[in-house]
Amino acid sequence: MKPRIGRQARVQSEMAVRLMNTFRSFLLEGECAGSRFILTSPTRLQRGSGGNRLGKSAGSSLEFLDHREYQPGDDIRRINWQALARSDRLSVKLFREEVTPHLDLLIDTSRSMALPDSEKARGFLGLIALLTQAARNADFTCVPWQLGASSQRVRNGHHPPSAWEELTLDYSGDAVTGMVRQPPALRPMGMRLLVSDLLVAGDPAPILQFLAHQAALVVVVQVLAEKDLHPELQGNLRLHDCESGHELEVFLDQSSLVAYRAKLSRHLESWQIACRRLGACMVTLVAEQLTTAWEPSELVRQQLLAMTGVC
Amino acid sequence: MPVFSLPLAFTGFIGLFVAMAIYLFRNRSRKVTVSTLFLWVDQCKPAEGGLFLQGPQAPWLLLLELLILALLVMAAAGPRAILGSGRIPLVVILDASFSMSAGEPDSPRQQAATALLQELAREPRYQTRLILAGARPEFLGPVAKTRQEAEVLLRGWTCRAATADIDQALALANNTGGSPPRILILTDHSPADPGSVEQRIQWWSFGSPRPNMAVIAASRSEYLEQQQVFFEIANFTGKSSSVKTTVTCADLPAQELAIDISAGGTARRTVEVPQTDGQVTIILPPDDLPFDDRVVLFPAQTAKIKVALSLDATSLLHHQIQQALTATDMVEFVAETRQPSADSGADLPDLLITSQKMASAPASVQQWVLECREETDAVACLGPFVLDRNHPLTETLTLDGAIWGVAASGTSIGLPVILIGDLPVLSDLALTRGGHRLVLRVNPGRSNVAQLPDWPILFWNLCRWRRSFLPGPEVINLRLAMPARIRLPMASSGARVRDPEGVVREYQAINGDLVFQPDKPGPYHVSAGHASWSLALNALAAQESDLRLAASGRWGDWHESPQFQKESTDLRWAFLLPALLLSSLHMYLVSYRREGARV
Repeated sequence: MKPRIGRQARVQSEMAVRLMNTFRSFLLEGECAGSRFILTSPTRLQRGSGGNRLGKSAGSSLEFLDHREYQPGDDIRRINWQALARSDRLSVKLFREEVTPHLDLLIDTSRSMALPDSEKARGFLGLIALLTQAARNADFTCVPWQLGASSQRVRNGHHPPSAWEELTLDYSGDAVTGMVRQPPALRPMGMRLLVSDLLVAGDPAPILQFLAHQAALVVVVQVLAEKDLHPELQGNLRLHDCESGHELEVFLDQSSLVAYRAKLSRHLESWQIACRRLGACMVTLVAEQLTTAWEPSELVRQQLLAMTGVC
Repeated sequence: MPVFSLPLAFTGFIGLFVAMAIYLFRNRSRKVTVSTLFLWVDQCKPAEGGLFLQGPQAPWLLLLELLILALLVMAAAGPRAILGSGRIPLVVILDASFSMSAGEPDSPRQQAATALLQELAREPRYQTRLILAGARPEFLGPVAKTRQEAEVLLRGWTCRAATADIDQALALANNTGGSPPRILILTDHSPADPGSVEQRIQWWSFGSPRPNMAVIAASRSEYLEQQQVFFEIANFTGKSSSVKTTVTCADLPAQELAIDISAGGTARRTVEVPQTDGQVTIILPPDDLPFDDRVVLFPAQTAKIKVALSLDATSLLHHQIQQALTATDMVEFVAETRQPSADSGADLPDLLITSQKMASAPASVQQWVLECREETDAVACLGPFVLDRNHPLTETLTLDGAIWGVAASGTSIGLPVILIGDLPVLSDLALTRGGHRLVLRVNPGRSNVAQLPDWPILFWNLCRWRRSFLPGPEVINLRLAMPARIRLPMASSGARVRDPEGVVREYQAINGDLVFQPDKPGPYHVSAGHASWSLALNALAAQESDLRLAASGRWGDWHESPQFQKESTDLRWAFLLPALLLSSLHMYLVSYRREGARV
């Protein structure tokens, strides 16, 4: 006997399917845009016994790097016998190491990332897909994590972003802070990239400290809507928090907006200071500007992305 | 308590609702979704309006604006008040017609009395004068200075008149003296022209259309050996009806008649009853107005005057006079009795017709004398006849074609009643003790007046006139508003009257006549010494019985009259001044708000 499905549940299911399809289209859009970019690797990479990329340090690959005077304990197979015959000095050959770069992509799935009447969701999901594709272009291994009630890997995350499943932006709490309480299993010495709007109250230091622990590089990409930066609101308003559902009645005038922008600026500044202290990199992008041409120029300027020349 | 002379201005209170609507719509909050609230939490909150209740935060500016609007509206309504302790003269005209008693206990009279007492309670400064408006208006008691006094006086407001002459009552009210009073009319019908009600007059009507059946005419007469009772019933119910009428007569069984009457129509019936002195009663089924559902009829007066004909029985004049008197059916011929010392007069004829000159006055005031002078030297005269039309004997006389034989040199006594030229042929001497001595100069051999209709008319007038001086009521069956006049016997100075409710009153006679005004329908019994009579009073007023035109409503407004303007003081300043002060406060509060704030 088939279970009865109420009309309301059916309608909600249909709406969820439509939303998923919309989100998937955003991911596809970003994936296509990401083909033009590669993610640049950090200076400290994960060391391993093999890899598909040559590191800057000495390793065990076949590519010659440099000579060095023999020291007790060196591998005698590395001794440069030709140099010994010529100079009667013991020296060894150094070869470049092989490394495997890894990206942990931390996705804020709170509702504020899908702010209604804005390009925020499109820009956010598109950017995620762009960064993932850029990482794949740079031979990174990428693990997308969705931060919500708990930190979980995105289903089908090893596939291209357009194939990801169950990625919804409907968490009603603070996803970024929750990451510290239920931390994901991040790979050591990898690159950690947090994408969020960072509109959470509180000290950013604990979050960044968690991210920076055993990380090769921490990058924080803030995605904001134009409405978040420059709200055009005046008069008697009932502000509705799309994450918590709380409402606040305010009367806004020019002075109120000036005060808001000042407070936002201080908030962003606190994150920037915290990032600098921990050696993390922070970039702020505006979703409406991003979705115009899919050219995250700020990321390129910060040398986090590089153009591939592929159109 | 102020009175507002322009109550239409209160429609301005709609502005209060407009102001509140503007306030609500202007201050309602718009919902906006934001990413987070923590950047907004320290913003200013609205002072008024909004979706959520936040405790007792009064919108002071709105309250001020509403209060100012209310004060301006009340000032525009023209408030006036009578200051000080001055009395306000009020004359109340009370409709005393019997239609006011329809539908007891919730009759128009009761409703009017209640409304009047409420008005007096509302304004204690009234000095009230009550006027009963019946056929003739009359004051009801002294001036009432308090509501309680008026309430006591109102108990004397009886509604038993056949009509209410409001115009006469108004004239009386206007002549009460002093400053023109306010006039309040309490009745059960609307004014003839509502637009013409004067400014000093208020017309309050408390009637309501009701169906009614009424007896509007009735009489009782003798016909041959029977008595006939005639009555007419009117149908004021608005639809055709069959009315069961009961006719009772003394000890005889009642007769039941079913009479069909169309809507608004009347039906007449004549019923024969045996000869009886008892009352005949006509009864209709009870309805809202029982005043006109019952009629009592007594037999008409049939007393005959005793006439002594002291003429030469063989003379032509004797024959002619006897013939004329017999034709009247009002005489009883008796033998002549002349007792100079008789003081009771019970055996004396009422009218002595003689040919002898009366050297002295009749023996008694109860005996009239008609002296007939058959002059031998009479000549036949064709006229001109001059008649005293004010005299009862000349009623309907014409003497057209009459030839009257009279001596040119004869004399007469008393005032001439009929003259031929300057010759009195009939004269009347009124005696000081009430009797009359008449002189008739006619020679039947040289006259043809006995062959004319005027001859029996003359004697019919004489008999009726003489009978009117006999003891007894002038009219037996009275209508409302008719006074009862009864000639009492000589020895009586007064009489006792018992009304239909059994109440007995004593009345004094004036010049031998007893006059009183009965007001309760039904039988009355009058007794004076050994004599007694029965009278009946009946409504028989079709206009009052027709309740279809009764109406309720109020017309007129004292406050529109110039008199009220003089009596009262303009109180607009009492509302404008606070409005001005509050407006100043409002301006101050508005300018005190922060920069950029909504004004």
